[in-house]
This record gives sequence, C-alpha cells and structure tokens, in this order.
Amino acid sequence: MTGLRYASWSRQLLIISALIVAPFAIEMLLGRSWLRITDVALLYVMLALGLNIVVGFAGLLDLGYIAFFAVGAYSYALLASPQLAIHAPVLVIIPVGAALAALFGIALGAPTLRLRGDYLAIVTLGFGEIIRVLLNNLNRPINITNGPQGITRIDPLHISQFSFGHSHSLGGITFTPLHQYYLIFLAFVLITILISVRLEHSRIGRAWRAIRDDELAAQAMGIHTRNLKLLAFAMGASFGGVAGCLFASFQGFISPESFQLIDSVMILCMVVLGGIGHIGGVILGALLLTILPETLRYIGPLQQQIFGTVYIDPADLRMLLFGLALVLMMLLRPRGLWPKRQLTGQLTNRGG
Amino acid sequence: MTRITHSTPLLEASTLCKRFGGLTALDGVSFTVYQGEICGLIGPNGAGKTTLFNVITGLYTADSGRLLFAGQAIHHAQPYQIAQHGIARTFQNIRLFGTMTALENVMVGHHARAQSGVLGAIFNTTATRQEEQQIRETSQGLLTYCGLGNQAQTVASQLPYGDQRRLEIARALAAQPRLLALDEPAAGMNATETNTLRALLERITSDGITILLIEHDMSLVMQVCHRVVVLDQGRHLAAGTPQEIQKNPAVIAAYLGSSV
Repeated sequence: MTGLRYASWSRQLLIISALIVAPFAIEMLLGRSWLRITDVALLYVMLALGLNIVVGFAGLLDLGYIAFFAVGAYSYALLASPQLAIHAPVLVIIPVGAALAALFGIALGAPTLRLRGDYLAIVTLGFGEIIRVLLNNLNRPINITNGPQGITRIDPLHISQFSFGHSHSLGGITFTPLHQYYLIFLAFVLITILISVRLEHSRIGRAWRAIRDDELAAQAMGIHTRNLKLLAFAMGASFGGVAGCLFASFQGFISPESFQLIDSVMILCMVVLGGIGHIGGVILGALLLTILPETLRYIGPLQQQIFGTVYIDPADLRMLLFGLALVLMMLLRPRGLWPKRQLTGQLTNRGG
Repeated sequence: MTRITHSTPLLEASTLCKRFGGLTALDGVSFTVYQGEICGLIGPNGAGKTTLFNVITGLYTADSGRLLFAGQAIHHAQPYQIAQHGIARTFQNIRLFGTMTALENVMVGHHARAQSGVLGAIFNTTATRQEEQQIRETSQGLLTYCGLGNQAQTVASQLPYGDQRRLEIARALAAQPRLLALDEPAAGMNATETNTLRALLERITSDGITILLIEHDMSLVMQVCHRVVVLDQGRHLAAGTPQEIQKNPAVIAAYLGSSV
C-alpha cells in the first residue's frame, strides 16, 4: 500500500478532517480574501505536482507548462459558456480537458525527444508562447477564443442540479462557493497526490528516474525511452489540463493574459524551491509561493500608516524579494527547502 | 578448466562496417559467439571493440553487414528491442543510475521483463503489487548472487568502484539475458576484486548465460575465456582458443608492433 507509506489510517483521517475544517478557520481568522487565495493555492499545488512529473521524475525541463493549464481552461470555457453556446456537463468537460492537454503534451514531446536541458527548455518556452499567441488571435476569421478580451460568463462547476456557484447549507452550516470550491479542489489535489505517489514507486516511475539519471543506460536496460518520455509529458500535461478546467469554472472569466511565461516560471520555481522530485517538497513550494506574495499586499497600507506615503510599490517589492529568495535558496539549500532523502522512504518493504 | 564443445551459434556477425566521418571504426568484422561460452574480445586501444559492442547492443547502427542473434536479424533493432531479444550489457565507463539505490538499479533492469503500466500503478492492482514484490525479491537475490547482498540500500554513486562494476553486472542480469556483454568489467580492480569477478563470471556461464567479454586484463582473459576474438584497427585479426591466440604471430605483432 504505497499510498499509506507515511501515515497510518488514523493519522490520515485526522489530517483530512483538519483539511476539511481549514476553510472555515481561514475565513473566520483571516477573512474571505484569504479563503480565495487558499483555493488558488490548491490549484497551484495541482499544477506543481503535474510539472513535477515531467521535471522531477523524468528530468525533462519544461518552461512552457502553463500552456497545458491554458488548454484545460479554454476547453472548459469553450464547452461551458455562451461563447460557442455550448453548456456540456462537467463530467464530460474535465476528461476532455485532461485528454486534450495530454494530446498537446505529446505534441510538445514528440519533436523534442532528442533534446535535453537548455535546448529542451528553449523549445518548451517557445511552445508556451505559441499557445498563448494562438489563443490571442483565434478570434478571426472565425471567433473561437474571443482573442484578448477572453471568455466571460463561464458556467460554474455543477453536477446535475448542484451548482458550486451558489451557497448551500447543510446541518446549519452555510457553504459558500469558496468553501465548495475549496473542497472540490482539495479532492482533486488528494487524487493528484495519490497518483503521483503511486507512479513514483512503480515500474514506470523507476523507468523515468532511470532516464533522468542516464538515458543511454536506460535504453540498454530495455526501456523504451521515447514512449516513456511522451508518457511523462502527457501525464504532466493532463494534470495541468484538469487544473485549467477547475480554474476556468472557479474564475468564470479567462483570457490569454492568465497564461504567460512568468506563470510557467513560477510553477517551475515552486517545484525547484520546494524540492525537485519530492512530492511533499513540491506541495510546500506551491503553497509558499502562492501565499507569501499575497502577504506583501499589506506592505502598501503599512507604509502609508507609518510614513504617511508609499515608498516602495508592493508589486516591485514582490519581484525583489522573490529574486532574493531564489538566490539565497541556490546558495543555502540548492536541493530545495524539503528535498528528498535518498536513503530512506521508498525502500521500506511493504509488499501490499 | 573443462573444455566444452560449443557448437550452436548464438550471435553471428558478418562483415559489419561502421564509419564515423573519415574514420572506419569497424571494417568488415565477422565473428561468432557460441551458446554457453565465454568469448573474449581483445585488441589494442582503438581496435573497435567498444564500437562493436555499441553496434551489437543497438546504440549504433552498422553502415553495412548483418547481425544475427539466435537466428533473428537484429542489426536494425533499437536498444530497447535488443534488450528484449536477450542481450544485456555493462559499460566501460560505469553508467549506473546514480541517484538510485543498488536495489533500485537492479529493479530497473527488470523493466523489459515486466508488464505493469500506468493504470496498474495508479489503481495499485493486485497484479501490479505482486509483480513489484516479485521484482524486489528477484533483485535482492541478484544482488546477493553478485556479492552485494548487504549493499541493497546504498545509493549507487556512493558504492566503492569494484562494487559499482558488479552492480552493473547484477543490473544486466536482471534483464534475464541469453548473452551478457561486459565492457572491461575488471578495469580498475585490484587482484582480489578481479578474482571475485572471475568466480562470478564462471558462475554466470555455469547458469547457462553466454558471455561476450571485452577485457584488457590478459591473465583474466586467458583464464576464463573459452575462445578469444582479436580485433585490430577495425578488422578481425584472429580467433581461437586462448592458447592459440597467445602463439599467433599476427596478434603478437599487433600488440607489440611489427618489425616489418
């Protein structure tokens, strides 16, 4: 039972109930805007875990990962909004979004099979830009994506009559849309973690690590490196696609502006900062890099209070601190905040 | 050592050629490896031994010539297909999976002989769990077989040099090969380690696996090999028993330089 390596059932139950109660605590203590930030953070955890499959497990540097997020988001937006006047059920859209993203993953992987490191990074970076430019320009001659204006009035997540866009009460507790999205995102994150953990400790995960360590030796051991690399791209992309679907339904509005190079870079930073290839570290990285920048919003009003004027724009400060954090990381903890320990963990013999 | 008559060909190379630009690394090499033997492949530096290994294991494609393994043509096969056919190899400059433990390295070696895929892993099916368990046990067994039984949890890159070489052999054996191709397994080993290696090689052949051995340690070659093939400047120079090779004037000339 690989999924339960770190905790016994009771401990897991405790963690899960804490996670379910968390949104109420956050809303009460910090306010509604922080609950929204938490929801977004969960999406980033999914994205970072997806990218970790490509970069962490298989060792393929991908600087255009946000493209798969975009593919998922646009799949949802086009299939559930007045834009094309289609309102497909969610249970259809999410698999379609995941599959489309996986196809795009293969489309990116296939021509880049021979590339590694810097060269692969450059091509994937270009791919991310191509997708964004496409989305920006697919409004002529036929208007598909509505160009830079983006797509509005996207349907909220809904399963038959139950819409995540409205509040519901259950046993005297009111669940607002933010609560409901939190819970559904949490469910998706837990599934993503489970899949990541199981893949990592499987024959497929071993083959990915072998390719990462020494591609030539991996081939000589009978590993079909082409197929396994494509599989890594497709798996990682499909996580991104699902996250994109959820994002579109959550925001109700998307435009190409949400899918820029800097977003790909941020997700890569989450993976690297947290601990490349280590699931716990990647989750930590995603949470820190979503939540910490938000705390800087308070810096503006704080300066106003103390000095009577705003000296440093919080937006500038954000990039400054971010850069500083990365430099410090590379100096002090080059393998990430919470790296994988090499000698323990995966080798305890549990045997199912 | 008992002389065995080896008559069934396992690997047959005929007129293999491989050029790199203006350099002809293999110039019409033909030779045969028979089932059950340890066949040595020797020659001075630059003779084309490693190139020949890379052609046999599919890392290079020969420009011309044929390669038959157990009767099947393999000269156009991809490396992973070669492994599936039953040829496993080690590398002259050790190529282990450095971040993985010794046990995991051997487990990777099973890749071609195992089935479980993505869905099996995600749903953690009974078949997948059983296969994993079996791979783990066999791998531990192979480590013990190669004298690394208590190093299972050591990260490969942290093993001593001689252990790394034996780990490469264990990993190759995990692919259940019919032919094990070893590229200088004794390089950098001291006398004790070489003796252990010799015993291991003899044990592997007695278990029915044929060995093709590139080696510069002549005393090892002369002790373990049933037959020796000599390459020089990309050409097949001689083949025969170790005794015949040692007396062959052409071989002596190639190694010591000809006076002509």
